Amino acid sequence: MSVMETIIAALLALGVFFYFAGTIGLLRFPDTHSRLHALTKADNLGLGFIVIAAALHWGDGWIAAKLALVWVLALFAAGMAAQLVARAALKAEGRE
Amino acid sequence: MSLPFVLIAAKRAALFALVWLVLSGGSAAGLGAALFAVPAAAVVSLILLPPGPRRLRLMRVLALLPGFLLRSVSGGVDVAWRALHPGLPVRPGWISVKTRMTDGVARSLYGAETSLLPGTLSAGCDAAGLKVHCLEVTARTEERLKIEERRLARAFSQDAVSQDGEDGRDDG
Amino acid sequence: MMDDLFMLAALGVLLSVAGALIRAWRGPSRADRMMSAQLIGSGGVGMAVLIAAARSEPAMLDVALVLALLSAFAALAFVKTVTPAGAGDPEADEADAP
Repeated sequence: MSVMETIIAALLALGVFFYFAGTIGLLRFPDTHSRLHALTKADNLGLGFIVIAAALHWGDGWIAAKLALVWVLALFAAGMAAQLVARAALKAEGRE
Repeated sequence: MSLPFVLIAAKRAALFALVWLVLSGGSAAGLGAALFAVPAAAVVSLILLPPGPRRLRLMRVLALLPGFLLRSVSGGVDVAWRALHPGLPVRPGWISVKTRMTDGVARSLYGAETSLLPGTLSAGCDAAGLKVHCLEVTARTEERLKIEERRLARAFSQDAVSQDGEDGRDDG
Repeated sequence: MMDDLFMLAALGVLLSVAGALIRAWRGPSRADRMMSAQLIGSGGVGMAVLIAAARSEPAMLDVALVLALLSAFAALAFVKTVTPAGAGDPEADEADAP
């Protein structure tokens, strides 16, 4: 295994690890909003590692740019969706 | 049509052209379609999101990006650690933070940004300020949010302060 | 060999998506079920990227892009349905508030 392959394998492992952590958080955390934390942050970090691994594996500039676009879009969407869902959940609980 | 408006339109068109370039992988094959799609996207964006009182400075946003990415990584590590810890160290609570980010775009961005930072999740504004859900309320939470707000404020042009009230909403 | 590793990672992401279905089943609130659907969305994006890399298939990246876009719209649609009277837009909500 070359150095690059080892780095890619490590990045993939980290990516899958954070996806798992997000799911565990979604299952274990005590209230709706805490679960939303897990979903928003852990999954996007997982996707980030996977995107970097894919870009290194591919070794093509345009593909790397497209991968970056995928990640930025997912990150932006997650941040926006998180506050909207958080607000909707608040309303459903009748706190407002 | 004032000059700033034309400038904003040109900037947005340039941004969409860049996205097109990335999507097509730098090939010239779809250039004809791009000549139609890029101006169309710019026009739609100007209709759906007209230039507001505060202008986002692209270069300053790019300057903020590395720091923000680092902090969002620590946000993911923090939440993963809490999820996997056998003792489940989560004591959720709400805080309300007064914010100067009152107009639409700035507030949405601020909310989205804080939602990706360690331990905080924004749930929109009400009269008391920005409602923030915390995995663990500590003395430093509010301070960190303030620091983040000041950081993000730098990404907007400075003339905003004088026009803050123009969108007809109270500062809350 | 690296391609297999990417497929293995896709399998791992698939398993964590499967775990999220438990939350959709248990609920209890509608927002919890929606979050499970969101996790399926972000997991789907991850899997599309992994499969794209394993097969060196750039078209799969377009799948990932569209999926990321669609899951954002799904969340928006959810918020629009649970909050009353076409609300869900924080600014509109604020205008309604006394």
